[in-house]
Amino acid sequence: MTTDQIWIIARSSGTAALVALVLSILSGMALRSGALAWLSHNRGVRAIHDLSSILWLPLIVVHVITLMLDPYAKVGVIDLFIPFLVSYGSFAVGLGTISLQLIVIVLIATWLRSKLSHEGWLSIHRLSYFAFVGAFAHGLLAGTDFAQPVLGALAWLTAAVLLIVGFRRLTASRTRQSPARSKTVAIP
Amino acid sequence: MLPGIVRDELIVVKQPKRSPLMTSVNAIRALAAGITMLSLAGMTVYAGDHLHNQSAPLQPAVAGAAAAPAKTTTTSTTGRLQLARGVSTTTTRAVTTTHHS
Repeated sequence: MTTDQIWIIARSSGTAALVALVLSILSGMALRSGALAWLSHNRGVRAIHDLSSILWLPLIVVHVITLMLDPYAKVGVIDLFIPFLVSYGSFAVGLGTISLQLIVIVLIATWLRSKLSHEGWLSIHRLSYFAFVGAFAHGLLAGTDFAQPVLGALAWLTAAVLLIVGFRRLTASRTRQSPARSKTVAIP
Repeated sequence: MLPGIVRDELIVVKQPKRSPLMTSVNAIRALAAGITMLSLAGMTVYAGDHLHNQSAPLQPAVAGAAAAPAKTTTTSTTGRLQLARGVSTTTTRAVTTTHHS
């Protein structure tokens, strides 16, 4: 495999992994807020959430392996465990490392869900929001393609959609948590 | 009294629930997989056509050095030759080989 082919696969798998992560986060938030109710019922949205997490895994494995093979990136095995050590673009690459580690923790917690308390699992599961922010920043700061106007605009648009759905999810859960706040108005 | 509301009685009119666009779980799975695979294929084609992006935030140092050859000599306005450290790169093919004993 040539250096150029490795570089192409590294870029495409990284972008596709981010797309899978977006689908996972979006569908996860939509489960509570009903933001995707127009598209499918909750079982369908749950199916997207489960599948996108499975799709993300091989893509990120390919992304990491190809970057380890890339002679310019110079990512080593140690960089998968300790962020910001890599000499080339250390901050941008380090964000990707942290994001990867957080999602791996979330996935492990999902597989061990039956052995964890609901609160414990939920607090670990919420790390995926931080993981997405890290992955998005990694894409912007290290990604070759997000500097391209059309792809950059698409990425920001996706982030804006996630922000809106996240806000809806937050307000939906608050309304559900405090039903006593709703007022009962007597009709004369 | 508000029009349309009967005294001491609240009539709740339920709006008919809109059915979602996709009811099949397999179809929605295929859609999610399709979006991801389309982005993978699209980016592979795009990256193949645009191997280098000059506006990318990270530029490898080696590629930058190759694009801008180092200056070795400069002539000042006084006409005096000034030497600077550096090795200039060449694109011409090597005509000699190193002998390994």
